[in-house]
Amino acid sequence: MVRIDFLIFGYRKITLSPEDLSEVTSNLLRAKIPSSITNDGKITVRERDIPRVIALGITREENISKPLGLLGAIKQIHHKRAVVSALVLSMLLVIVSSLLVWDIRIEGNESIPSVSIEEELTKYGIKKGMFVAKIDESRAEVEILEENSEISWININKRGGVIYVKLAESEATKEEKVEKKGYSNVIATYDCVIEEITVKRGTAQVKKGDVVKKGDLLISGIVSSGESIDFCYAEGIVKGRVREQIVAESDRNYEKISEKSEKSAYLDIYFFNFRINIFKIYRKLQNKCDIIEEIKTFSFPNGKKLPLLLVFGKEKTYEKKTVELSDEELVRMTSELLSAKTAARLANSDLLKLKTEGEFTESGYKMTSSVVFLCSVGEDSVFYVQ
Amino acid sequence: MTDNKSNVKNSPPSSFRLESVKNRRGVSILITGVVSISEFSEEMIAVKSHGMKLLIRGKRLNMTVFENNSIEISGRAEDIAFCYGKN
Repeated sequence: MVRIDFLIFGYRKITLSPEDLSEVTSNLLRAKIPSSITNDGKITVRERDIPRVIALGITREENISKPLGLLGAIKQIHHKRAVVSALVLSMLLVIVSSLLVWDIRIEGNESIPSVSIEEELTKYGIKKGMFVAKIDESRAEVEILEENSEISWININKRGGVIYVKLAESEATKEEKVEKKGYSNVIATYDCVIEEITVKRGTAQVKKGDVVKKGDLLISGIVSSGESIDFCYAEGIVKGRVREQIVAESDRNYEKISEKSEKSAYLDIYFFNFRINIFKIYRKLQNKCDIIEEIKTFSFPNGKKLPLLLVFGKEKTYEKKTVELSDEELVRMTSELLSAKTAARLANSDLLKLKTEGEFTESGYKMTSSVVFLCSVGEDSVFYVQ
Repeated sequence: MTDNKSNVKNSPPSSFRLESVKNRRGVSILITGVVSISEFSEEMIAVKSHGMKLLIRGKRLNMTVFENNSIEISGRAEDIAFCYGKN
């Protein structure tokens, strides 16, 4: 079996008679020339060591084969014009083909058909067969957003000969498409005071200022017109004033995770969609680790990207340490935690009142926020009629 | 196996050391501190070291020579004999 470095940097085979093998091998050993001796009586020597082998007088030149391996292959095709020109032509073909748009991939559309998005993109010169360099994706993004109210966000990316379009439809477009079937009431999701009630369908069961508990009926799906009773899917907007307590507590003994080491794990080269793995290191991981990928891209001075990517994979290991926090740090950390909790809780609500208190406990620090906020308090509760 | 090889390569060239690892094709024997090869064939390889001689008998034996007086013998080795003295 030929060594991998021999294959890459080229090698030659020396044919010897069986009785000369041991002597020649000893000479190579003394001259510190790496070689591989196979049982067919042939010695494999690196291309760069051949002059030393000849200088040692180990064998005659006619017993040495032509250059083999990758270097040998390159040397052999050196004079073959057809092969070289075919290679150059194919490279040119690959480069030219990478300048054109081959495919448009659209993601994120649910109600808007892909065909209509493609038609919209055509207005800005984004279609199959066009030159990638001519596409102004930033202008297309801005103008598509301005002209199409049903799209709330769009991102157009060029990658090689493929255009990736990601978009988000506006909530109104989505809601219109949701079909509500069957019968339903609207019930309260919190203990609250009703501040506003707008009925789209159904019968209101509460009015402004009413105090309701979680689960109480707000809009009924039963509609009575004269003597007849009908059922419907009750719909409406009910807003209520909710009072709630948000608690955040931090321990004085804080488990801090810090970076321990960073080691190379793998290296991949991407050429168009082909991935070539240069190396990958397998090791046993005892601590928690993250794989961090560093991606290096190459581009021309005019900003056009080459279809070549280098991906360096690194393993970051972490260690846990218990540290004792000072009073100041403890308060700051608890405050940050409470802010995060409050922000999450009030994401779709209007804050009316906020009162925060803090106290040191045996284990750390505790902060309590009493919040009063206005939010949507109705929830659909489906029922069946037999 | 890679670690063993690198250890062997990094050891001083004169010190004799032998390591063998079982592999798919039989065994791979790494020997350092080799002075010369006195005999080579598919069935037997005789290796001279400082003050001793080593005989490896087997079938389909191959050999690779490294830069630092170390060699690797791979194949179906059946018998390894250590002989005192160079002859």
